Amino acid sequence: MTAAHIAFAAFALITVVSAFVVASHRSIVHSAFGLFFTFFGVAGLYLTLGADFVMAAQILIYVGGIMVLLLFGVMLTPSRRSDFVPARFLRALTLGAIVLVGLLWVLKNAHWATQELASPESTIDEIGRQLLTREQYLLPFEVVSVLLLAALIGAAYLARRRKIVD
Amino acid sequence: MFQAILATSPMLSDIQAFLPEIYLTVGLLLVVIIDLLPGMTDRRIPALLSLVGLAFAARVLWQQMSGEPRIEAFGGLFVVDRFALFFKLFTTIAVTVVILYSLAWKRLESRMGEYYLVLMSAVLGIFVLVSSQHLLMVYIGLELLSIPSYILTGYFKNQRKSSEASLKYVIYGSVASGTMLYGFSLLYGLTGTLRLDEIGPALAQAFSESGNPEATALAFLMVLAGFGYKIAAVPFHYWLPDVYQGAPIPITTFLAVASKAAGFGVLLRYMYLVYGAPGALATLSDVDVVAWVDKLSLLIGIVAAVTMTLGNLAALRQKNVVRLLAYSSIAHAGYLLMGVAVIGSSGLEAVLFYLVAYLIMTLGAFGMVIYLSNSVKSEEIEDFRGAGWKAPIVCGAFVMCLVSLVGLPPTAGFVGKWMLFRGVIESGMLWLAVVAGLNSAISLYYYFRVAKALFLEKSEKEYTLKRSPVMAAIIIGLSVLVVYYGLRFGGLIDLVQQANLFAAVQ
Repeated sequence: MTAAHIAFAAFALITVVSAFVVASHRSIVHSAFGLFFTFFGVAGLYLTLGADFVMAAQILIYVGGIMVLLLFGVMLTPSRRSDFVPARFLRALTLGAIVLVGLLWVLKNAHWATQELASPESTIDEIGRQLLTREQYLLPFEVVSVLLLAALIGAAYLARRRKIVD
Repeated sequence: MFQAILATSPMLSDIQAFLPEIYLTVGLLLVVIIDLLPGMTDRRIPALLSLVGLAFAARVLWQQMSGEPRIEAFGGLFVVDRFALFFKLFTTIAVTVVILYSLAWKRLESRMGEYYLVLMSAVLGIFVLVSSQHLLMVYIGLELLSIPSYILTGYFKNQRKSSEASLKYVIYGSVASGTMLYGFSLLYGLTGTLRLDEIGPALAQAFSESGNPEATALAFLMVLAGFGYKIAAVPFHYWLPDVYQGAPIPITTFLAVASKAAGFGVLLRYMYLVYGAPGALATLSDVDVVAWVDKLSLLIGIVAAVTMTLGNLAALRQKNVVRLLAYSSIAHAGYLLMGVAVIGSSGLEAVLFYLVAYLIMTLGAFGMVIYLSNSVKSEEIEDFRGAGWKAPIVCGAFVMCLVSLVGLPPTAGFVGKWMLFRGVIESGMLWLAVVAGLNSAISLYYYFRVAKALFLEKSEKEYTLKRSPVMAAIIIGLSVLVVYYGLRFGGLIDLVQQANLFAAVQ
């Protein structure tokens, strides 16, 4: 049991427990706050994997940006507590348990293509180089910009207020 | 001289391979900019710009069609081969017709700049998707197609049905793409690479060395969820009827033709590179591997059978033409999946041929719905009663498209179905051919109910059919093509053989 194991266990626990709160809490505000910890836990998991840049981006964008936006959205719209339907909850729990057991069984028996790698000092250099190298990820990087443009303009169009008629 | 410079620089030659996509991007950017200029209120301007962008792209695609058979660009992430060009030209034709339909459809009157921008970015998504040879590119292409589709589905934001359809589409879409990403991560974990052409051999090696059947199967199922959702195969079809009905009809046409074909394009390339290419699983002779690949093939066969049966049975009860065509499009995804189940050369050619037939007849059918609903302001079959005698030639052309959708001679739909049937029978799945035959018989009933309403029933309401020469010309032209390719299919078969991924290797 090394420090890395303990850190991983702690972050994984934060992620899973808060994700459960997100999915099961009856008040949407509480769910949103739960999501805050989920994002934070995932950032920690990235850190244990040595992905320092991804961790920083996760905190800046998800925890700092998207989460705040989401909370604004939740608080500015009329929210009502969702009803607790035991039958539905039980059904979801059963299905979830089956999927979980199946996944764990498959993942445990699989032979993964693993490699021993030295942990990098900092990944920012390498990410920057790969994103702008022709043979690496230049094309996806550029195509994503069109995706963002379309999503942005589409969202702006849909968000403009209009009367609803049937 | 220009060509010589292009040949010397790898960056420039990559850009040349990517030129059609660049024209599309320039086109969509121009749509945004022109739309913001004062005085540009005519709703035809953005449509015209999009058509010009498509025309430039088509010109380059045509040149590439007679150039090198296979170009790998951007370090192998992006590949321009006949297969990709086939789907790109297919999409260009489909979207050109969709834009003409959008212009003709009377109910699209609000701001149109965003509409064409978003539509063109979906086209770019399809172009990227069918050319990608890398899981990251596949994912980006799929999202670049999906997100604009969600927006376009909800384009009538003042109609509850349209917004509901959009929301339903988003939720199902996100679940499917999340599942697919999980599958990708499993593939990466099993092989250590994201490149599709390397995954095939690596997976085969891992399979024969350590035996990973469960994990490989799980990865396959999860990836299939993503592609299956795009082509609307059972059980990923729930979203389709409501989305098709709620979306503006030109967008429904786009989803039914271009988006579905793109789903098949990426599914076929994936099946080829990961399972069918030399060195991949389907080419190994190890007994365990052969049994596994047979199971995979059987699974897709079962999905195909269930998809077509469910689509056809549900279509029987529909009273709304768009909903009927929606279920019929699920059924057609089932027919097309028969060709995917045969992981091999003849199946792939059959799918490509049937896609062309499907393009022509589906465009014709949706064109007719737009033509009629412009006058009767409804898409219910009973409101179409007696319309046949008001415009006999156009309605006759539409009936020809229906005949082709059933798969009767002398139409392209018949030739396509015949090729699909031959493919599955050759690979020993006779039961699948029987199921498909029964399904075609069922589909005869509901397609002809529409034809019967048009010609044999009397209308209760009095209305005049608005003439639209452009729409009439498109529908008649499409029905002529349906019959033409039903009789003289040699040229189309040549094209399909050139686009065959399996043949390109030998």
